[in-house]
Amino acid sequence: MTEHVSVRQVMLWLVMYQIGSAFLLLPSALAGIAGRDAWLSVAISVAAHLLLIPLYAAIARQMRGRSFSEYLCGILGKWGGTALSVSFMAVVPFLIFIMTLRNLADYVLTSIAPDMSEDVIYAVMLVAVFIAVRAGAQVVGRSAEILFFILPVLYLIVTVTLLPTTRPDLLLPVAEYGWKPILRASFPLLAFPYLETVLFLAFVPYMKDSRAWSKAVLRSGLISGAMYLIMMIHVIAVVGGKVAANMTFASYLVVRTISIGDFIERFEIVVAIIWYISIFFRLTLLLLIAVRETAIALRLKEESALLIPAMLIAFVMAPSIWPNLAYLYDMFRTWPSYAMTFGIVLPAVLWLVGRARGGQHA
Amino acid sequence: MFIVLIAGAVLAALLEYRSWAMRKHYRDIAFSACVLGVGVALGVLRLLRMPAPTPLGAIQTIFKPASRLLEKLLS
Repeated sequence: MTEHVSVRQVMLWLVMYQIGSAFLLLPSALAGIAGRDAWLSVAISVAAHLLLIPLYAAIARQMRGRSFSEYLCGILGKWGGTALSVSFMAVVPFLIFIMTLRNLADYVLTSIAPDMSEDVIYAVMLVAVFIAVRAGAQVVGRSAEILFFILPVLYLIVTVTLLPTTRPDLLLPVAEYGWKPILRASFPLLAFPYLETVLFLAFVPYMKDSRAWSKAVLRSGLISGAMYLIMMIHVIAVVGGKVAANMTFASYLVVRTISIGDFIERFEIVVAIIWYISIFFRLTLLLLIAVRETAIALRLKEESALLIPAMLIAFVMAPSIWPNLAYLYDMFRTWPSYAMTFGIVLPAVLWLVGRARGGQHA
Repeated sequence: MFIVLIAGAVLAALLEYRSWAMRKHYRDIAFSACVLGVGVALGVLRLLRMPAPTPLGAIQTIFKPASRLLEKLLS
């Protein structure tokens, strides 16, 4: 592997990955379950995510600089490894890629430009993602470094301008209905995006060693976790838990309430910018991993051999992946157990198999 | 619009295949063409307004019981 990506680049990329999609979609899903205590659920999910990092770090150590597909072939044999790798890439990163793409269209069509053609939204984003994936991880890592600074600046502006309308009393009383709804609401955020951390294992070969990888993953979890926590507290303290639960894109609509001296108005488009940037990095990471790892598993010479076909399938499937947002919200209830299967059970099994075969094959 | 975009993707793929053929990467062309075929077939299904199956339906069917159990435990 000649390409090298620094800890900082990977960290910033992962932060944007974790912020993309979930930042707009989850506040209402979480508030729908836990009400005004949704911010406590965020804290629990981030804590659970941090507790899982040692498991992923252990696998990263076992990988010893190999790609994820090569590692799977190493511990499961040529056929088993290839089969698992190809099916995993199709049903996890690629499926999430299609869902994220659809998220983008849902958001633009609901909140910004209702009359826009859905196909154009997909096509424009896919062209950008295509160029990024073709350029490779190193280039995307560097662009993450350049574009990331916009995120905290915009985020800070939004946070500060929201302060006058913040009413901390809306957060009280804490845990009125006990801890069970809080715990239940922590699952959607843990599942999406934190259990997707298993995908970041594809970054191991790009980095100096597994310790650098763990450092990047840990830091990104802390940064995105803090961003989620502040955002969630804000959403609830501005509009209250009940209203937040009934909004489709709560974090977007909260920013709409900003109005300072008849001068700072219509600020919500700032959130759209944050979201567009982060979702671009999210899509790039998902497609890069899916295409590259599948090519390695199938022993293809061109790393981007499946790039155009995969993008075509995503483009065609995105409009029909879910019929409406109600279906998606219902999906949020089922998704955690699916995510736990690929995010906890699968890594745990791989780690055990890798350990058992450590001496001879892996 | 939709047809133009699909045709564009197929054309871009064919251009890539030409350069791979020169480098004798036939295995790559074979796999890529198969996946491209699936994409075009799905596109035709959409053009004919046939209901395309969503993989989320399968996930719902398989994982719903476990999720409901989890919810029951915490409610």
